[in-house]
Amino acid sequence: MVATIVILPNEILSSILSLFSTTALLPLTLTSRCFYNIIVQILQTRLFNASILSGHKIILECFHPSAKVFTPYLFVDNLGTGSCDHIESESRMLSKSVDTDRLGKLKSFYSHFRPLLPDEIHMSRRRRASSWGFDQSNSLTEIQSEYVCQNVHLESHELFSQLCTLTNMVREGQKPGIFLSSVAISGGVIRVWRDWLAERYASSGKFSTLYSRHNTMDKEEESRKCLLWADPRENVGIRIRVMKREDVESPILAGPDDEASVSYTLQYEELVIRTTQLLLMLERSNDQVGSTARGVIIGPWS
Amino acid sequence: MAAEKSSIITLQSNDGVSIDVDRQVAERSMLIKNMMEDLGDEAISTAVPIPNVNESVLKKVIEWCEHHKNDPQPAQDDDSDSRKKTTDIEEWDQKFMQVDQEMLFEIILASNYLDIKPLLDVGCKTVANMIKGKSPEEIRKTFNITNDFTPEEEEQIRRENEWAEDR
Repeated sequence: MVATIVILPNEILSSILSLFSTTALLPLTLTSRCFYNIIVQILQTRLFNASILSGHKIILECFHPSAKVFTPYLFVDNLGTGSCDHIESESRMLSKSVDTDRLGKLKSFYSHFRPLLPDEIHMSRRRRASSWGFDQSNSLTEIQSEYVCQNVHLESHELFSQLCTLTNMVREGQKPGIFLSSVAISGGVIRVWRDWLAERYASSGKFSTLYSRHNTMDKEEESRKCLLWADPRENVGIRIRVMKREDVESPILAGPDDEASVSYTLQYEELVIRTTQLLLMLERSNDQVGSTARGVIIGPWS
Repeated sequence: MAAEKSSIITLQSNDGVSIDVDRQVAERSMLIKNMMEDLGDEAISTAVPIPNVNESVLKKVIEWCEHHKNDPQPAQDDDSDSRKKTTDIEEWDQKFMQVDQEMLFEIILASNYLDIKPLLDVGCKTVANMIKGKSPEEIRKTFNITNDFTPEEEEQIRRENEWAEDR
C-alpha cells in the first residue's frame, strides 16, 4: 500500500501548512491543486487579519524634501469596515472559484487607512519651527480640517513638486514614541504635477465628498485619479484632495500653459496599502519582536 | 481518587485486539476522557472499541500517552500564533516520530480521531519539517503527489505567487 499525504483530511493538511510563514507558503502553491486550494484559504484568512494590524501601527512620513526635519510622522487610523468588508465579500467570491488565478486576485486587495492629525508635541515643535521664519509653502499646514493637510508650491518654472513618502509598520512599546520594532513597508517619492493639481482642483468642486459609499461611475473614476502611488509596484498610495491655498493671495488657478507660480493645499484623505504587502511586513515585524524577546530572556544567563 | 487514577481500562482496536491501559494514560485522549466521564465506572469493566485505529497504531499512540502522562493538560484555547508557527519538536517526540510515512499519517489520523491535541501537533510539525526547504517537485516526490496542473496553470501560478517582488 502506498502511503501518501493525501489521506490526511484537508483540515489537518491546513494546520500543517499554517505552520509556514507566508513567504515560505507561496512557492508551495505549485505542488498540487489540493495544496493550492488550502494555501489560498490560509492566505485569505491571514490577509483579513493583517488588515486589522493586531498590535501594530502604521506611521506615514510624507514631506517635501525641504521640510524633512520639520515634518512630523503621522499615525494612521484603520478605515476598518471599508477594507474588511471588501476582503470578506471578495473571499466569498473567491471561495466559489476553482481557478488558478486566485493568488493574483488576493494580490489586488488593498487596505485603507486615514492619516491622523499629528498630536500636540509635534505641533508645538512645528510651531517653533515656523516662528523661526520657516517657509510654510511646502509644509504641513494647520487648517481646521479632519484631514492632514500639506501645502505645495510650484514656482513658475516648476512642472511638479515631490513628496517623499515613507511608510513604516511599528510596534509601540510602553512609552509612546518608543518602538519595539519597525519595518519599512515602502519608501518612495510621490510626484505632484502641475497639470494634475489644476485638474484635481477643478474637479474637487464637483465631487465634494469623495469617500462615500454610494459612488457613481464618475466618482469612482475621480477617486482613482486622486490616488497617487509612492512606488512603481503600486504597494502604497495616498488619495489626495486638492484645495485652494487659503492664505495666499496670488491667483492660483493657472492653465498648463501659464507660467505662473501656484500654491495648493493637499488633503490626505486616505493611505492605501496593498494588503499582501501589509501581511508580509507584519510577519517580518513579528519575527523582529520574537528575536528581541529571546534576546531579553537569554540576557541574564550569559 | 488515587485508586481511580490507577485503574486499568481496556481499549479494543479495529482489528479486534484488546489492550489494557492505565486510565490516566488513556485519558490523554479527550475522546476517551469524555467517554469515561459520561459513562462512569461501568465503562471500566467493558472494553472500549476504537473503531478507526488498528493495533500497531493504537500501541504506538499509547506509547506516546504513556511517556506524556504527566504533562499538564493543554489550555483550552492555547492556539496563539507564536506557538503554532514554531516547528520545534522535543527530542523524545522526534525519535518517536521516526517511523515510515504510512505510520506517521496513521498516528496523525488516530490522534485527530482520539482528540489528543499535543500528539496531533507533534505529527503536524513532523510533516511540516519534511516539507520545509523542499521545492514543490521534491515535495511531490517525497509524498507521492501527482502534479495535477496544466502547464498553463503552472505558469500562471508561478507569475502570481511572487508577492514580495520589491526586494
